[in-house]
Amino acid sequence: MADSSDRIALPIRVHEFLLACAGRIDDDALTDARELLAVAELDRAIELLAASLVAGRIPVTADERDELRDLVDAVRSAPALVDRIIVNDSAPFPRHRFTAGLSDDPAPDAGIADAVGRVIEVLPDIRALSCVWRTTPAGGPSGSVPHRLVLVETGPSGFAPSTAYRVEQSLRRAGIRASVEVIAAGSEVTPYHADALAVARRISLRQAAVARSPEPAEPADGYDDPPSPRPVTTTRRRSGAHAEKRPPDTASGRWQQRIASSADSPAPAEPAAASFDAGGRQRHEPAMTMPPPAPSPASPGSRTGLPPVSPPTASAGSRTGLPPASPPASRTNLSPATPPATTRSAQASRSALPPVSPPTATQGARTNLPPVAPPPSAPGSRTGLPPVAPPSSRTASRTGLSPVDPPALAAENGTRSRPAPASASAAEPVKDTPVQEAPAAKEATVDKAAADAEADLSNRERELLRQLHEELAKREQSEPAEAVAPSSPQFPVAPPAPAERADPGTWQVDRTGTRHSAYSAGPAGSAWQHSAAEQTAVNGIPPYGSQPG
Amino acid sequence: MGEAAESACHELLLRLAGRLPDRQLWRFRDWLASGALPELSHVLPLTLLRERVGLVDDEFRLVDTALRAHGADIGLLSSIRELDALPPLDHTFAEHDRDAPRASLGDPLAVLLTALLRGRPAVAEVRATWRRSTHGMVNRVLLVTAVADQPRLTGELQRVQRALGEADPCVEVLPVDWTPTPYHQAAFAASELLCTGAEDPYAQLVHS
Repeated sequence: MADSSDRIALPIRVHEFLLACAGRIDDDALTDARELLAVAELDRAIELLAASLVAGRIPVTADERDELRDLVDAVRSAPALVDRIIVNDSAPFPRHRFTAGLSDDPAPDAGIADAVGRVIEVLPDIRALSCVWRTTPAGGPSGSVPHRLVLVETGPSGFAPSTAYRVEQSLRRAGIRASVEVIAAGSEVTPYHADALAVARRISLRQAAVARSPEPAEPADGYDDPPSPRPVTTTRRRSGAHAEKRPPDTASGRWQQRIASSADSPAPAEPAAASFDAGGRQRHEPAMTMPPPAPSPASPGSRTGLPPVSPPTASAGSRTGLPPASPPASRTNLSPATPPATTRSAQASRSALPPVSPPTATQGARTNLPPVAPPPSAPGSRTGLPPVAPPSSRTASRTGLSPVDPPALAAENGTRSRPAPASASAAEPVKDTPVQEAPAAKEATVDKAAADAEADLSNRERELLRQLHEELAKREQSEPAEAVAPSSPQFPVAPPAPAERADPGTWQVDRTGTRHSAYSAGPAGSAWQHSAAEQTAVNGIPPYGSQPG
Repeated sequence: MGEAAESACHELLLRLAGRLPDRQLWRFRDWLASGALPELSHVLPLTLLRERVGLVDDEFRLVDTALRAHGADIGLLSSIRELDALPPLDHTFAEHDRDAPRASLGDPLAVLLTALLRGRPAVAEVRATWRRSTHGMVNRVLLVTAVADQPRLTGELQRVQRALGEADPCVEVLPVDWTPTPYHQAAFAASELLCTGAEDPYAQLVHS
């Protein structure tokens, strides 16, 4: 009695032998043998295979003959079945021609997604699905041509025999006759399958699931798997973990849809071939990974020319609820200091707060990005950080920011940044100022201080600035003395007003408790130490000097 | 391989028409036509058992003549169910079927068969009918009468049909002096003549 390992290994051996016979015996014999294999009639499957090889006078190699003999012995069939098999190690294997069809030809994947959508969802570890026409006959009693091949790639958790059978049955019920070749990822591919895969048209597993779903079909353009067929062995790049994390259902499709909508860009006309791997990585960690900063939803930074960004920063920012940094500029206006993720700008618009840059050099180092200054809409960087590129017109319209030319912005920020030392000194007279003041008084002072700079701001920027001040005042009224944890999601980072740095008298950072600058290490640092209890973190980073040592 | 064994096996496979699934029956006939009777002898008994197909006495004699000489498993043969009479037909036949695929501009199969078999030696008549199963499946059945070489003619005509797209061809090549089964009698009764070969049965009748 065969043990459990034989019960699992033997069908796999038979399946692999059938794969080796593909293109050499007729397709219906292969299909029948696979069906018998799947329904646990291994003896009939092997007998059918052996007899077909003899009747068709199909030569096999000596190794194949030995393997077939082992299989015949394993299923207790008559060894005489193998006696008359033609053995010829030098006999060339028949080479077949495959095509995905010309423009007027029926597509090899037509109707496949609808037919197999349901079964694909329930079968384990289906990695890929491809279709191709074979235009040459196979075997002695060969069927008509073109003959459709459906190539299925499975992962380690898949069971090829049952997958082949179930997929074939689904196709048959749909009136589609096809040979289903199930290949395990990482396994050796025969020349027959390699030739087929080279021109096969891949079907998106999400498309197959959507085709089955009763919900309205979502546009699959741009979300399909790349049509570039490749040998199965290359799919080893996808680890089992990734394969498990890639749900072949509408959820991932909707996730992609969210990327597209948040990026506010049309679905790309071309298949996202080059970017799908990156998109795959994105999909593997939808909760952790922000989409790349590009208009195209699935395009990574390399495709848009944007510098690579570190996703944890963006997601960290989003997790803490902090307003994100300024949205990226258009491609042509991008500076190396552009912060990532257009979706963060969407978050900014939703929160009605202007985006804020990570203010400290430490923050920038953690994200592998140079420190960036907030956009001109924000009330000027109080940190004196280098400027950030302005947002694109699209993102600007979403966030309420108006596009600004980088040179002008740089000049403006340069002007603003010059008083940074003055701001540091400006903090000096402030240090004795009580941090806690009446909200009304604080607001009046801020309004006065910002009055000079308002002339330089657009109406929208002024509105945003007003909203910011109101929000800050509101927060102070609710929690005036509470020390907020660095990772608290409740703490907004109030960007400093542009004019505050210009006017030392208006440097009221202590008042709001929002200390960000590492440059005010002198008197401001002592002032912060004085009011450490009121100091709050910026983007999760405690203010300079607030920690011992 | 003896001619007697081959003839007995061909007759056995003729008698299994309508009882064994077409998908298996045509392949066994192809193996016989290709000279794989030893392999068929090993596969057929297990198939009859798994498909729960019984045999009448005459058929057991054919099994004994055709398969035992090539090493068929006696144990398996002994387990085949014995029937007192042939089972009733599960099919009906008609010269034309409303659900049959019909080419409005001609019958490609008929044209091809006529080109192949008209005036061919050893071929008497070539006829065709439509068979409908109890499940509603409609298949075209070719009925050919021949005086010799029936297994190879069967294999040839099956491969022609498969090349034309028929996945499970039904080709019944009957010896001219063979007593047809009820299945074949019903098929002949509802068939249309496609062409005649060199062995015109009516000509033989006239000149005999």
